[in-house]
Amino acid sequence: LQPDRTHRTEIEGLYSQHGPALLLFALAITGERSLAQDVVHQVCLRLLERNTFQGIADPKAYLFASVRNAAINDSRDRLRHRPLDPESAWFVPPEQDYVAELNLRHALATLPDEQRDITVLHVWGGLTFSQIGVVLGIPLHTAASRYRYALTKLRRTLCAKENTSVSSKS
Amino acid sequence: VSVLNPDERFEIYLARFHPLAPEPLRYQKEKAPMGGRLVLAAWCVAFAAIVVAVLAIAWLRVDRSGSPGGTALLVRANRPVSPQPWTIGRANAMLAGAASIAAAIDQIGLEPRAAALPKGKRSALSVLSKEEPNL
Repeated sequence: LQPDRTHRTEIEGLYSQHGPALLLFALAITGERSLAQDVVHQVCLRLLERNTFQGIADPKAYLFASVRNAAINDSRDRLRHRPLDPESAWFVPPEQDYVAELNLRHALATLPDEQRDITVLHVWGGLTFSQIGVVLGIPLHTAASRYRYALTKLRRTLCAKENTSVSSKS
Repeated sequence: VSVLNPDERFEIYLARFHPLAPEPLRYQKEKAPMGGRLVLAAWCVAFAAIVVAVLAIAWLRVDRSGSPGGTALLVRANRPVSPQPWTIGRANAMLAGAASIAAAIDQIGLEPRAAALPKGKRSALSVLSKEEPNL
């Protein structure tokens, strides 16, 4: 079955718009870049086969939810908390500050799974707490409060890392 | 001017990190059969080329063995190389046994190059070429 051209363009648009955030979300779940990439591709191809967005109220939230399900299924038999690969960056850091990028990655890795997922979805996915509630199947307020906890913890971890690096330099 | 709280400032800081872009979307399910078809076509072409080559070789062999020259070639190929030089005796024996003079001459002409004659002996061909037989 050949995908409809309009549907295909729509998927490509969503992919170019949300692809980086989807990949980051899959990375945050699987911890492995190639697996995360495969998951995102699988989801988009399945959507292409579906040939329509009919019955999907929020395509963006649906995409993130699909990536989450696929990533969890694919990494079910694997260790969720694998050591971070120092070669595998998650972000393009501002002003080529690769140390900051590594620190952020490490800080994200210290968060509990549900807090990390919410942080990625809200900060880089641009999802509202309502959409996050749909994706993760939790109430809106739970998503919001978990996000606040995550943000506080992340900030503390990053500050501690920054202080350590500053003191080690001096 | 609105004053940002620490969380908002931190969110802005985080947002400066841009997630890496994924690889371009590949339509594997569409491209795979195309690739499969190409491979199949390549195999078919290769198989056809082999079949044509085998048939051509077989045809050439049949054609050569079917023609008078071909027969002679095959006869020559199958005949053991005689180390003996041509002598008058051998030539006479051949002429006696041959169906016709032409066949005998053909046979002589297709005989593998003989070894060098020992001293004092003459080639039957050179003798016959000088003689004028009354046929």
